[in-house]
Amino acid sequence: MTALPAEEARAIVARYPSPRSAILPLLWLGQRTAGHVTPEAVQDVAELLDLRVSEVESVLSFYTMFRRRPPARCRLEVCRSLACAMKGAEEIVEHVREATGVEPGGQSEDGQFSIAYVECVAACDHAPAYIFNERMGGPLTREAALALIRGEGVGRP
Amino acid sequence: MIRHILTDGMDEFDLTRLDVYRSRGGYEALAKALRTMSPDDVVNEVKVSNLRGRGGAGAGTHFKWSTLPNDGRPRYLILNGDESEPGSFSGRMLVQKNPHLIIEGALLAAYACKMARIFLYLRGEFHEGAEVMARAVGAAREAGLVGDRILGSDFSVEFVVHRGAGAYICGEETAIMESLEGKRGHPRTKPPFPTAAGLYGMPTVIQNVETVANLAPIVANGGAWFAGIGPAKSPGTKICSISGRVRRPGNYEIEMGTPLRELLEEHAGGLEPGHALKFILPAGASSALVLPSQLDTPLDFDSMTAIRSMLGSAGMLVCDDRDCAVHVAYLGARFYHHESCGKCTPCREGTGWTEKVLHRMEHGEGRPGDTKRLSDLCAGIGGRKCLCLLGDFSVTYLESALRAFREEFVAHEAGGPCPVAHAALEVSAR
Repeated sequence: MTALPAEEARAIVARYPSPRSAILPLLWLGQRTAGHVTPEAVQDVAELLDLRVSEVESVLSFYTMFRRRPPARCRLEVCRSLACAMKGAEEIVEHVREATGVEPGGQSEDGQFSIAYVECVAACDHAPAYIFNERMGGPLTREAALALIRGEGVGRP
Repeated sequence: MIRHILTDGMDEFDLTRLDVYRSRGGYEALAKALRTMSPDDVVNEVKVSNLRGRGGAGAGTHFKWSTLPNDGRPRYLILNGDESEPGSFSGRMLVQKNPHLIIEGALLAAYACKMARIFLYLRGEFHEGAEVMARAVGAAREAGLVGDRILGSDFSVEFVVHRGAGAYICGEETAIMESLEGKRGHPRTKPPFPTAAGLYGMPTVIQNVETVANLAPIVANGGAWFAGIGPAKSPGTKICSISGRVRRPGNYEIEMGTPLRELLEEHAGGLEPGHALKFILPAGASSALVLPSQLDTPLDFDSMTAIRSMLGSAGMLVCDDRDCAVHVAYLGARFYHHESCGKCTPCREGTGWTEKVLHRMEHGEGRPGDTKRLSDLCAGIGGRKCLCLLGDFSVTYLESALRAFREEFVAHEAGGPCPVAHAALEVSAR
């Protein structure tokens, strides 16, 4: 193994009656270790679980939360499901797009920030809700969105 | 009325700490069960309690347990914490604020049903929830509450916290097993039902986290106590998540049978000033809408079904006079198209077509006949044509909106700006 911390990876596999169940936790471990799921991490998972790389890839590609490229420093994900859309989530993202030129789903060229839509994050009580660098928050405003992607943290609910 | 059973002390105390949870009587139900009750005694209390599943379908918990075969194979318990229904957020709160109530309930279920292992499947987006649960399980293990010979008894069970990675479908009970087995989250055919052949082909019980959170109070106070709360056929409390156009969105634990009007007007503070209620989606994006004339309906499984809607997971989305029925339908269609797993054709293709038609209606490009087209799509997708209910869910609201607000859909066929004032206008004027 080259990309995954070996001891931690083996401990994860040992939790399950069937090794294959460890795919998602191992991919999470890979993402935590390198910032994204690298080809080397996929190779490690395949070797550890005695699967083909294509089998790991087929699982990996089903789930939306694994990153295949290095992440931006500030990652803003804005919920656009019903309650959040009703409270103006899309207008906020549009405002960010106009201010920065970065489309939803995209990343700034300098790697400072990314912005993306996500579906319901179970925080409709804080609509428009968001996840910023793995932390949930809301209600998001235009000003808060711009502050977040600039790296100026704002208060959490 | 508000009744704090699952949320008791949650706002006043840091119940994520094991010492605090125990100082308020936590894990005493487990100790009582292990010291004074047989597994069958626990099963019997749950039977008497008439507890029904809180995840959506309202299946009887005891009934589910009673279908486990007695054949000596290992049994598994999966706790469904994949809460992803737009409008539902009670599970998030329980996981983050009362993790030990979930663990204790799961241990009681595992003791009653002689489970070999407990898996808590948390949706990937619950980053903080996963940290809280992992810490809580770790503390419980150190205290001898999880693992081998729990509290010195002969009962042993492991508890695994497993994170999903972004997929609504994994909240479906067969997809959750596929995902736990390390596969793409595609639903399985039923039968066999999970209790006969579930995780790894073994007998498996899948319960919502809120369902098991009821077990410690039931064992502590007795099934008869629980059965006496609210309507006889639908007893206990339900944590209702209410959001959208209300003044105090949030989670409210109410006695089953509490009128929807009380939840809306007293607890959630009513509508925002100057606006009138238009409709409510009472069980998230996948439920038939409830009209203002139905506000006196008691919130319990059977009363909500009787008005052709459902209590489900009680994720209530409130819409007022600014919300266009077509806009809400478009938002739902976009969600379901995104979340369809792609396995069954009516859902995979149908959710895409539905979104396409609603997209053009919503964006001023509606065409004559689009309303009829939507009705045809509903008929083509719904009616249990697929392995799971995602397709059916995707048309439930739409069908009800086509009945109640058909004229709004027809008006969108002409194209041009939305004839119904909706949220976008208000927001852009801010």
